[in-house]
Amino acid sequence: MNNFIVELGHIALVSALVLSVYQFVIVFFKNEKNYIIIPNIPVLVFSTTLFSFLTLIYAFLVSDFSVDLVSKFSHSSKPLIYKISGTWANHEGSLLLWILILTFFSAICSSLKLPERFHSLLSSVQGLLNSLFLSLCIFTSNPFYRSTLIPNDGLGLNPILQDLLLAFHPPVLYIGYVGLSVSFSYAIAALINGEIDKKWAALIRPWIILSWVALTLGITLGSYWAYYELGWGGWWFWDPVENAALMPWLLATALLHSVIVLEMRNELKAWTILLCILGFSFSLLGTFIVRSGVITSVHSFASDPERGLVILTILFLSTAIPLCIFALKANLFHKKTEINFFTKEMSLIINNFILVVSSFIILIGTMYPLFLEILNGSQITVGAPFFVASLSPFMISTLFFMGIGPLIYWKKNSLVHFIKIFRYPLLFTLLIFLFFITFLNLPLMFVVSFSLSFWLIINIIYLILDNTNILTFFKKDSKIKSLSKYHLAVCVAHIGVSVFAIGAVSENYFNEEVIESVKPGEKISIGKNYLIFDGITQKMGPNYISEIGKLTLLNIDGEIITQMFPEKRLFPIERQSTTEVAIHRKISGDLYAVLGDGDSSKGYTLRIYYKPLVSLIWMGALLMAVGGVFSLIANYKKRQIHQNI
Amino acid sequence: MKKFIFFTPLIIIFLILSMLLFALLSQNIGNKKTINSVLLNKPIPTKTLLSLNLNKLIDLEMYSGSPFLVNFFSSWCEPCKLEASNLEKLSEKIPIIGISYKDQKEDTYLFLDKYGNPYDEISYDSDGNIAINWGVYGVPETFIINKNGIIILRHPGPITTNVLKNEIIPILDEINL
Repeated sequence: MNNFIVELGHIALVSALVLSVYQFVIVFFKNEKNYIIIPNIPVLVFSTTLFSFLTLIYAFLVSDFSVDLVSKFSHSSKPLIYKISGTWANHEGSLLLWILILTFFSAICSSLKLPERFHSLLSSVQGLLNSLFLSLCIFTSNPFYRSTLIPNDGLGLNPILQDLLLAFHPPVLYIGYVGLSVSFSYAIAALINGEIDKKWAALIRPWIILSWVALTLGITLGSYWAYYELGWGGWWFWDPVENAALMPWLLATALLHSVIVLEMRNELKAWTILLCILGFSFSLLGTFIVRSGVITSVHSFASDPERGLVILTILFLSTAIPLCIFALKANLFHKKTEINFFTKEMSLIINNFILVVSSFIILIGTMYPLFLEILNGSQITVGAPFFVASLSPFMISTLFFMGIGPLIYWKKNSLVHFIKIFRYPLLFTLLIFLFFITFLNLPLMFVVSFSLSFWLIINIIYLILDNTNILTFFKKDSKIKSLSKYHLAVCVAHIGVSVFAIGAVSENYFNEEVIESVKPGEKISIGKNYLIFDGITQKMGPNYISEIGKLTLLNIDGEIITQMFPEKRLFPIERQSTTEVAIHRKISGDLYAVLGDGDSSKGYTLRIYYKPLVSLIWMGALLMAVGGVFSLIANYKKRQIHQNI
Repeated sequence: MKKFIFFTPLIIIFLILSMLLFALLSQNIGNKKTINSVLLNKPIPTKTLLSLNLNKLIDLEMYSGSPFLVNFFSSWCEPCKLEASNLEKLSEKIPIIGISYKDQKEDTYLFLDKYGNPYDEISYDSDGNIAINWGVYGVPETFIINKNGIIILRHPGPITTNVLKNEIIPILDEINL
């Protein structure tokens, strides 16, 4: 019975491929008389893929070890939730999840009311994407592959991946990546169709916001997971996998803003289209880097060169062809307009430029070692120092422009008006800066980014006051208005950025780290407080054995603040141990304790970190995502109003 | 000229992709330099390992007190064969723990028969989980651990005679002082 269901899933996957090829080619035969009409192809493609995905989950649930993938990444003793999440905690399964989301979006697009010619072009482009990824899945990474020898039990899932947050991290991130494929196909369909205008921008904008929100949340989840699970005491490590997600995020952020310029002012057509194409290409590039082992191949050998080659081919097809069309259709963008300097569009253009340059810096940092190796065989690594040094000037200046953009007008603005708006915020920021630099002896870079974060907040507050008429309340004929949804979205997202920036710079400049080997009863001092190590107890978990350390945190007067229980888990099936970090959270900062190895006679290694304001990093990122959601709602409301008219 | 601008993204992407293709197809066994790792100057991430024949646990704590070397290797890895003779030389100076990475046990034994066994203890990392913990890029990769159990060198790639002379030996001399 089990065998039968899994085979059905396999057949469904193959039929999804056949159907999506049909979805791709049908546009070429629309004018012929005798073509076969199958209604709702994209919906059919989605349903078959969904069925196939469900059978794979089923195989994981019933621990069908005759399926190679299940035997490699599952174990009968695993908790239920990790049996399910194990489905996408590997290359094959996650590719299927990716395709599931791809076909889902394509099915949604097919049910939207769009101009007819554009609609069929869009469906065809998405059909091509579906078929490319389905072929990749079926021919090089088939999740339904059977092993000839059926093992008694599976190898188990890597314990560090057995985590609730990580079960949701890939699906959310994939919604972001794949959401960019929708704007990508919209861009190509528009290029072929030859109509790129305000209407098109309004259609594409919700998709961009949706994928941006998902990317933001996905990256945040991943970063938070790395923080509390890996036990290295950091939240961002600049490794190729993280960079692979950050690049599309930066491009999506740029796109999010450039599409506003296109919708409001009918400008930046070429730029927006280019960002649509590159956004998706970069998320594919990320996939390629992560999956092909090409970055690791510099250091050893590609895990699967053949698979890498296929992904590279897809990457080539989905980048080179659209860029070719882009270049050939350049006449679509022919338009000469002047953009005044002190306008909203200019500030958006500058921020766009900064974001795109930043993502290219990350690309260079990620690819440079590879490049140098090819050129002269020498090997270097580009790590955090490079990224921090080269990105911080851009990130700091982007804070400045973010404060300006929301407050100034489209089209026309003058220097006088500009100064009139910004005199008080500028003065206030300068005062904060001078106060910090003269009275508190702090690093310059810290003070600059800190005061610019405040600059952003002050401007947002000014925006709120101005738009709700609170500022002119005491004058005649003035009524308090509520803030528009659009402004609310801008405010929340931008405050999110400044909250994030404050958290990131504080953590960077003022974190403390102590590594010590202690015996029970001994103490470690960190900052103003100190910790007493009370010893170790052992406990059995569902599929692991754990050692739990007990630490008592005392303040300088010897009063007990809290107790902390860092834990180490040994997973006998996976023959691996993980550390469970103990974190004492406060808004002012986290105290982070990691239990190392040792015994009671020689002492245990303990790593203690103090991370000031670190929680602001994720809170800020969350606020950005919430801002995105507000903007999505505002967009939806606007659409409804338009439809009613 | 104006139209040419619209081709630049295509050209840039083309260059990047051809570079990736080249990197994918070329498998390069050069001299590898030290690569900074998050784990550098940190304690070793795993302290107990299961031995290759699965009959006992190797306790890395037993080795602390004096420096030792951890070497990830595999029978299917060509450069591992290159470094075998140098590891043999090294094993006279310092204990080496071998970790057989994503390999079949029988193949590992055959490999050791053919190219010599420089290892004090051999552990088995069938699915690469230990390697993930150590942040290993690929095989071969070698770590030097000092007497306090702190990783002081990480070397991805084979230990060629050059690497041995210029990198490993100087560090060993330093910590043996």
